[in-house]
Amino acid sequence: MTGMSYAESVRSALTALRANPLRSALTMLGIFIGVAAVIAMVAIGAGARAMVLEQIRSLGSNIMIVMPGNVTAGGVRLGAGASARLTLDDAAALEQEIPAVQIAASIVRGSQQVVAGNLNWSTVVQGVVPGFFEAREWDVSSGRLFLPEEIDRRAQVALLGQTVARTLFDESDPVGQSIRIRNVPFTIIGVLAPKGQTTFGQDQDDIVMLPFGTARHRIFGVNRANARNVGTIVIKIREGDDMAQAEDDMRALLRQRHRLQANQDDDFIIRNLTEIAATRDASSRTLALLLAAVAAVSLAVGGIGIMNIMLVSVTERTREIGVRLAVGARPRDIRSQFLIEATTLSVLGGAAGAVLGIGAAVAIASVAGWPTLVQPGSVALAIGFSGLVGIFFGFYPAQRAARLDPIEALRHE
Amino acid sequence: MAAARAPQRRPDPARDLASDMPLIEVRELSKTYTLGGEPVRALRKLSVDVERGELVAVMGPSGSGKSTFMNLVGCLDRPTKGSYRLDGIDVAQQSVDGLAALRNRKIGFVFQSFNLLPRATALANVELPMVYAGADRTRRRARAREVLAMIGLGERLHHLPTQLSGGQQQRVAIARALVNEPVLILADEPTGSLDSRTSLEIMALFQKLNASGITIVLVTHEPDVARFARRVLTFRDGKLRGDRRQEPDDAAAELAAAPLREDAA
Repeated sequence: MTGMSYAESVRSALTALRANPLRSALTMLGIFIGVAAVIAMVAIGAGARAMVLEQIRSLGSNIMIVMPGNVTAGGVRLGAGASARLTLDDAAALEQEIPAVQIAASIVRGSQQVVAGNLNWSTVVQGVVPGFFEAREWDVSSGRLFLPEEIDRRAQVALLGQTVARTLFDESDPVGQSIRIRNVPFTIIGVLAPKGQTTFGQDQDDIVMLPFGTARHRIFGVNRANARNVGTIVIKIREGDDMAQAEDDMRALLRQRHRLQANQDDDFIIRNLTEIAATRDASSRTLALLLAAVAAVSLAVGGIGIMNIMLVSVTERTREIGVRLAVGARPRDIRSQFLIEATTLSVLGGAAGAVLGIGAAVAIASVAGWPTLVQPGSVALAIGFSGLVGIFFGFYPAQRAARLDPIEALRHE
Repeated sequence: MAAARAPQRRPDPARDLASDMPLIEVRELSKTYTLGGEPVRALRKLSVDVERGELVAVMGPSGSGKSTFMNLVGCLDRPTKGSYRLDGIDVAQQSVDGLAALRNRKIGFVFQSFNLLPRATALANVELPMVYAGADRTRRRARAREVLAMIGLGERLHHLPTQLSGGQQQRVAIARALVNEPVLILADEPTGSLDSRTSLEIMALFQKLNASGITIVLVTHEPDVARFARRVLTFRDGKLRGDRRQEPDDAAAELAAAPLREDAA
């Protein structure tokens, strides 16, 4: 019913806090640091997550990669890729025999020196089939992708990744110009859209794409023994199909095709890239939770500081409380007065901390180069939480004030 | 709880009924404290009435029960036994909030040590009881100014207590006691911290307020204060030992006759 309006209570709380500016400031420090830490940490965590999510998006969805695995020859286990036993036929079989496989795109890749005019650059050269771009959900930012017949007739055309385009052609448009790889000239027909880094920190834009046949025959070379071999097969699983089930089916098919006995290891490796990235996402989420927990602890410590000072304040102002009770304040009026004071302290500290936290996030982004993302929701949450801290830790002192006996309080020296 | 009360008293049927009875009606009132495990019988079956418009001095040595009496009459405490009706309301039946409301609306307190809020201006101190009565800011301001002007402090509205003399502080406290138009002013040694001339001023003010119809109960141990009251109650050992009526001295007249000092402390 009666009593002071909320605005008036806050005004009166501010007056009380101004009476002891240093003490009020020091009391707010805990909440201030806590909230600043929460906001900075959450911004770092959110930034890291946003980056991982961007990486997942850049992979294309539902992507798996099949690579040649190790073989055991006379007890000697050779490393991954040593067998080179994936073939175009494997890719075709995967695409045709397993319904879940939407695309199986063979690629060959290797490191090559690329020359343009008087500049050269060592980069990854990758031969691809048309399905590759579809699987990776990768388009050009200028020019066009390979035409099917360019792939078929092993045309001497190339697509440049952003990094290569920038390095070799600077600001000028590379489309229509030419590059040489192992002295073979290629006409640039397009520049690929930027993909950024992989989950492993590899620059996906530092690449030159060639038609599959062109790359194999003109750059990497073939002989009778490896005529149909491929480097890697990029698999896109159909939307809605179970990735794990598809992986099992693929493994069974490849084992059968490679005539592996039950006691023999796979001579290929299947990697679920989306899953790896999702794991990274989950771990960054865990990190964010951990940081939030640490920040919550510091907020709680700040809250204890507020409780301590409010208890001191109640003792110091016992007589004031007595006077207020004598002129008609009800215990609940006294309680809300001290609660509002505690909450004002914590919210002010929280708001100041939010400003510092946002500043810190911006500074971290520009100085350390970490991606940070300040979410308005997390700022509001942090300030709201500091208000709750004020109410929670202010309650006991306020309750103590409200329970004072007016006669004792008036007599207090 | 009751709605906020207007500065002007409206006709109230319950009040008219109550006005036939004494303002303070104390019957066999007992209060026993426990002090260090020992029961202390501060008041023993005390019965007394105070009529509307009286100016009563309550006297007695310390330990006589006069402070306990004042706390009970002031609704700061509840009796162990017996009944107390203030303005027709049974105080012993009241809840904690009910007691707060009674103090707020019916009683104005004046203390020996003034008990002003140190960080609040004279105006804000006077407004305080109205804050708890739920009056809005504008009305509080206006009413507090009015009362301070009546008390003779219209020029000092925005001074802090530390910027006021003792006499002025006590006037602010009296203004605070009056602001909600109480039926009773309870003053506990109101001149105990003041010099004799300022005491005289305060007593003159009390007499003036009493003449305008306000009931005043003064708790004091100074006969020099009690002589301005028309009735003197004497307490001893938790019991009423004397109830004497007298022709009071006129504080205003004495003040006029007293030599002026250059500095009213």
